[in-house]
Amino acid sequence: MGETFVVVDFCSSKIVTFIAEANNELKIKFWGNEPVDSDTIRQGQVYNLENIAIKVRKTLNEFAKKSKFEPSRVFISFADPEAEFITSIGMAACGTPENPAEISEKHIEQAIKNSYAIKIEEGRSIAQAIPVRFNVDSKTDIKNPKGMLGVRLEVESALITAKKSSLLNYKKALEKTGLIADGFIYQIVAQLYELTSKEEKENGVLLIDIGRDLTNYGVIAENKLLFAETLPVGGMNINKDLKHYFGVTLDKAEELKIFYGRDEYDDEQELDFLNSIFPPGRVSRIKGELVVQYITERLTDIFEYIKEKLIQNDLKDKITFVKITGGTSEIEYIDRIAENVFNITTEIYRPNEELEELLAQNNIPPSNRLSSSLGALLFAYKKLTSNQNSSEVKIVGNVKGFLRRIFGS
Amino acid sequence: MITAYKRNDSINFKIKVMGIGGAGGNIVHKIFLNGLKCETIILNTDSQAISKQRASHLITIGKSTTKGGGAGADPDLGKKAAEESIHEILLRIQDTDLLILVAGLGNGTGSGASPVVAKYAKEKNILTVGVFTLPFEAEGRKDIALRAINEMEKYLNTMVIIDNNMISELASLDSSVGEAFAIVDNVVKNCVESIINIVQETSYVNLDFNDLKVLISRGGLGYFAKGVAEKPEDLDKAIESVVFNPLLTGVTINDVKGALLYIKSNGKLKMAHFDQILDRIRDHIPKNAPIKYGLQKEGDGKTGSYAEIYLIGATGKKTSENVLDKIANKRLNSRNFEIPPGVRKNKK
Repeated sequence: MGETFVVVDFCSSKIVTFIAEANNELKIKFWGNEPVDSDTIRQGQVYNLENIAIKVRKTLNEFAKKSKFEPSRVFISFADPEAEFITSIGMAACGTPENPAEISEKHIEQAIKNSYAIKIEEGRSIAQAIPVRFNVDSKTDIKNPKGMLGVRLEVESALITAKKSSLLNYKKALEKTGLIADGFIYQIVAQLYELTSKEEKENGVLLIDIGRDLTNYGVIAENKLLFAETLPVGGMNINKDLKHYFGVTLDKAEELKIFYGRDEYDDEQELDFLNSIFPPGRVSRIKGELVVQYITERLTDIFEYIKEKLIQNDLKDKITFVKITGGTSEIEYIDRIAENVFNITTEIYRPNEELEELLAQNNIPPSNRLSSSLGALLFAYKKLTSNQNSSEVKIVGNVKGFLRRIFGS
Repeated sequence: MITAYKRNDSINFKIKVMGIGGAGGNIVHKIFLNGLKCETIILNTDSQAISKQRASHLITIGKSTTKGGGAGADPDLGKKAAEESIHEILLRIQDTDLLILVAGLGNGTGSGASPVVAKYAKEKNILTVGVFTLPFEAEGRKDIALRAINEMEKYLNTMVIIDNNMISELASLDSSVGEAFAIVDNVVKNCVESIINIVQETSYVNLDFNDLKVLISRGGLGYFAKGVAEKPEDLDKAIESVVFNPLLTGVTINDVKGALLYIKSNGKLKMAHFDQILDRIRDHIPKNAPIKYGLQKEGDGKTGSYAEIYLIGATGKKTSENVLDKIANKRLNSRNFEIPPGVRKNKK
C-alpha cells in the first residue's frame, strides 16, 4: 500500500479536497468539491475559519464512512495576490579540489536549505521553494546533480513568499478538521509543472489561470520556473462590469457572461435566453454585441497587464506559447483575445489523455474550473514519489493521531 | 434605502480647511483661490514657500526649531515645529465645528505636524477629517507616511488616503508631470469641496451638518468622490467618476456602509436623470447601507453644469487593517482592477 496524502485546494469559489494514494501510480481515493461564498474565502484569503473547516470536514467524513485512513502528508494549495516570487542561490560544500565527493541527497538538501537563508520582509515567510537549476563547480544548468562528483554544489531556488498570517490561517482552518498541514503549494507553480507538456516547458510557456476573483499566471522556459504571480482580478470582475453597464444583478451578469461567452448562438436562442432571465422591459437594455465588448475589454485588460509585467521582467521573448485555464476559460473566444494581445499561439487548456483517463475513472469532470486543484494533486504526488528533493517548506511534520483528532476516537 | 432630509438653514457651522506642509499648502491655496465657503489655514515650516501662498491665515510654524527653513524631510522636526507653535494653531481652530486637514505625507512638515494638529483637535472635540496623499514609490518615503497614518488613526474621525502611485489610472502617458500632479490636487480638492457643499448649501432636499457628523463618526477610511456632467450626454461619465475613484487607497464604493449624496445642477436636471443617478449609485453600494441625499435649490450655490454629483461614504474600515498592509506591500498592483477597463480609459 502506498502513502495516503491529502491535498486541500483553496480556490476563490470553492474548496477542493483530494484524498489520494501515492504508489507506483496516483490513485484518487476520494474527492470533494465544496462551494464557498466570499465571506468564507475572498481573493484566495481565509475569511472564515469555521466555514472552511465545515466544508473540508464534509469531504473527510464522507470518505471516512467508506474507509479508515491516516494521511501521512497534507498539502495546502493556495493563491494569494500578495504572494511574491523571488529567486535565491544556496550552496553546499561537497568535497575538496583534491577529493571531490559524490553529491548526495544530503548535499542537495543542504544547498536548497541554504537558498532559504535570504532576508525577507518582516511578517512574511517562505511558502514554497522550487529548485530550478543546479551548478556543480563549473558545470551549469544541471537538472539532477545526485551522484555527480564535485566540490561545490550550487542551487538556484525559486521562492514563493507570502504573509505569515495568511499562511497560518490556511493551516489553522485545516487544524479545525484535524488535518495538520505539511506544506504549501502555490497553485500556479503546480499547474505550470503539471499541466504543460515537456515541450512547452522547454520552449517557453505562459500559463494563465483566470478564476472567480483571482488570476494566476506564470512562466516556465528551458524547463526553469521564471515567474509566477497572482492578480486580484478574475471572472467576477466581468460580472461586476456587466452589472455596472446594464444595471443587472451579479447572478444575471454571470448568466449573460456564460451565454455571450459562447462562440455561436442564433437569434432564437438569444431571444429565449433573454426572455428567460429578464422581465419584459429590461431586455431592451442588453445588447449581445455590447456584452461581448465588455467581456473582451476586461480580458484584454488582464492580458495587457500580464504582457506589461512580462516585458518589465524580460520574459516576453522567452515564451512561445500561451495556455489559458480556470473557470473563465469557458469563454469560448478567450484564446483569440489573448492571441491578439500576446501575438503568440494561444490555446485553452485541455487535459491530456492520461489525465482524462484518471478523471474519468474517478468521475471528475474535465473542467478547467478544477485545473488548479488537479495541478496541486499531481504536483504533490510527484513530490512524494520522485527522488527529487522536497520543494515544499515543511511547516509541521507530524500528522500522527489524525483519526483521533477528526473523529475523537 | 434612500432617504431625503431637510435642514435647518439658520445654523451656520464653522468649517476650516488646514493645509499642512508644502503639498497641503498648495492644495489649500487653490481652494482659497476657488472661493469655497470656508476658512482656510496654511501651516508650514518653510517661510519662503508660505509667502507665495494665499489663505485666510498663513502660519509659519516652529520658527525657533527650523528658523523658517523647512523641516528637511524630517518628521521629528515637523512635529517639534508644530508643538512649538501649538498656541497659535489652537487659536485658529478653537471655534471650529469641522476641521479638514490636508497634507502630503512622506516629508517632514506634513508627516510630523499633522499628527500633532490631529491630536489637539481631538482633545478639543473638533470633528476632524484628514485628506492625505501618499508619496510616489520612487521617493522612498513610504515608511514616514505610514507612521503618520498609523498615529493619526487614533485622533481623526475619518481619513481619505490618495495614492500618488495610482496616478497612471487617471493621467495619460503623454501628460506632463505638472498635469499629473494637478490631477492629484484636484482629487483632494474634490474631497474637501464635497464636504463643504453638502453642509453649506441650501437645497430642496437637504443634508446637514449632523448628517455628516453621524456619518463620519463611524470612523475608519472615507470614500469621497465627485462627478460633473456639463451636459446631459456626460451623465454616464459623471456617475462613473463617482462610483470609481481609482486614487483612493484601501476602499472602493463597495465598502461604503453609509453615504451622503448631494446633487447640484444648473436647474435643468431632468427627473429621469436624477433617478438614474440615484439608481446607478445605489447599485454599487451594499443594499443595507443607508444613503441620504440632498438636491440643491435652483440658483443657490451656482453651477453652470447640468449635474454635479458629490458622494461621501463611510466604510468603518480601519487603516491599520487595510491601507497600511496594502501600501507597505510593494506587490500592490499599480492597476485598479475594480474599475471597468472601458471606464478607466475614458478617465484618461
